[in-house]
Amino acid sequence: MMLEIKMLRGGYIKNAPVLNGLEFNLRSQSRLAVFGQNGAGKSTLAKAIMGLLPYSSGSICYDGLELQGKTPDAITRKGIGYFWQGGRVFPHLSPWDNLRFAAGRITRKELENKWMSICQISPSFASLQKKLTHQTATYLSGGERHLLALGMVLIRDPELLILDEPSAGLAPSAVDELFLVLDELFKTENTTILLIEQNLDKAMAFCEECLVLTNGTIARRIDLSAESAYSDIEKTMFEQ
Amino acid sequence: MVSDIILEIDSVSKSFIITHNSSITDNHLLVLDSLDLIVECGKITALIGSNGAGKTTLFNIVSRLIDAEKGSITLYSESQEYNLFKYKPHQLASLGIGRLFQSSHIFEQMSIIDNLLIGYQYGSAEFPYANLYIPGKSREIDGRAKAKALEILKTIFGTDHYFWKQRNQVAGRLSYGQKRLLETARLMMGNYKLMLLDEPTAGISPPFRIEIGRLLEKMVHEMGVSVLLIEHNMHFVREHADICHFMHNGRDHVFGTPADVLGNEEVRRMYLGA
Ligand SMILES: Nc1ncnc2c1ncn2[C@@H]1O[C@H](COP(=O)(O)OP(=O)(O)OP(=O)(O)O)[C@@H](O)[C@H]1O
Ligand SMILES: [Mg+2]
Repeated sequence: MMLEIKMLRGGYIKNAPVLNGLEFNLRSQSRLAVFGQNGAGKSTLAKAIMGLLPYSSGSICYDGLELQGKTPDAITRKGIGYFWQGGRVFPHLSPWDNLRFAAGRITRKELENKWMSICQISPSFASLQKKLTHQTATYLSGGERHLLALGMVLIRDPELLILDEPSAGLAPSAVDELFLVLDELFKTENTTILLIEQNLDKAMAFCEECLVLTNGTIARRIDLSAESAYSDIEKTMFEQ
Repeated sequence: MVSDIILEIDSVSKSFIITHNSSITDNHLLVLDSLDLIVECGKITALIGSNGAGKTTLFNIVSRLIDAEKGSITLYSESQEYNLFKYKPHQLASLGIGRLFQSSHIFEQMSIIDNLLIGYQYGSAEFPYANLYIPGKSREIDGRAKAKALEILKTIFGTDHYFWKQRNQVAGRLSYGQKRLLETARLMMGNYKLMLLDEPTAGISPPFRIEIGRLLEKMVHEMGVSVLLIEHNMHFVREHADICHFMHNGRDHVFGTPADVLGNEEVRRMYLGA
């Protein structure tokens, strides 16, 4: 088991937990979607895994190692990549320097190869190419900044990739391309993917299973190959 | 019959200098290329286009946050014509133009009700968050603002809604969907005739998308507001827009009903994919 989460409780302020005893396992080399309304606790879950939110009880084990108390950078070095909702970049660096910064210790050549392989699949990423070095990231459009932030996570080749709403604010064709890139990553690098998405259709076509979160607990875990998957998700998400 | 026009964008061009390195000859990025576009009164006009197509840039030009290189933009309001390029950004609210920005502008440490209050507009209120700047407001104005905020919460959302129940709690506790909904509702604190909405539903779960859609319909069909809407969510465009414009290469490439535009072969190829 790659990720084991047990009885996770926590939130932003005392006595108002957002996560209410949440539990699930994630197998290595699998793709799990997380659905739920705004406020259900999806991003909070991602932040808890990344060490960005101290949790009051429960445990998060990654490859058998307890993550409680570990810093976000230590967790990143263990091989978990995280796309923060909305996408964060360093506005005063050029897009290319953002990528270099995110790439860590890999060589320039390796970085170039990784970036080019993404651009080959996706014209949307490739359209950033002409803007990589001549100006800072401040001047990118909202969607371009979002693509850059995604690129910063994807080039790291994480073992576990946590994506918090990677398709928000992207043009429909860019969303298609993003899923092609993810598909390639999954197939060639065996990346395990935890995908928080509002775009149910896309996420359902991509993942094997999904969790439906309501009020900080897992209301259901659904096999997405099942005929009734869509109606089960809708029922769990909307009828409360 | 030609229906009434609220905003007329005429031959607007804008380019950005993308490098100061003089050895590079092609250092201009032409984002808007003699763009013509009309926004009709009392309708929801959607603006779609690829990431980086120049949609937000157009909003920035209409809002006067940046200058165009050529062209003109005219606002038609109460049988007056206003050449927008003669105005400063802070004067736009008093002309009746409101805007929802692409990034969220909710003040997290302030309560829900206070977040509404800063959007209150009276007299020559300034853009965009009038009440943050106005010195020496009178009690009377405060009272009117508060009454309006309470009325919005009650009539639009109802007393069962969490906005009403938690109105004195800090907005930082709201989920992203709730914040976006609150922000859209805040526009109703102004006396806007034209609203520029930049991706209200990005990252919003379906139930909140429905609520935002309902709010939009109310603004337009009950309050007579006209809306120019940037969106990447095609369900939302199909459901709510009356007219749709597809921007490409800095121009209004294809326009018509949402069904026509989204069914257009070029739009499919260049924007919708698959
Ligand atoms: N101040 C600036 N300096 C240089 N280039 C800029 C500036 N502002 C915007 N741009 C460029 O202009 C183009 C249009 O940007 P804009 O923000 O208008 O796109 P958009 O259509 O709103 O895209 P999105 O759907 O991603 O929000 C982009 O290529 C962007 O990089
Ligand atoms: Mg934009």
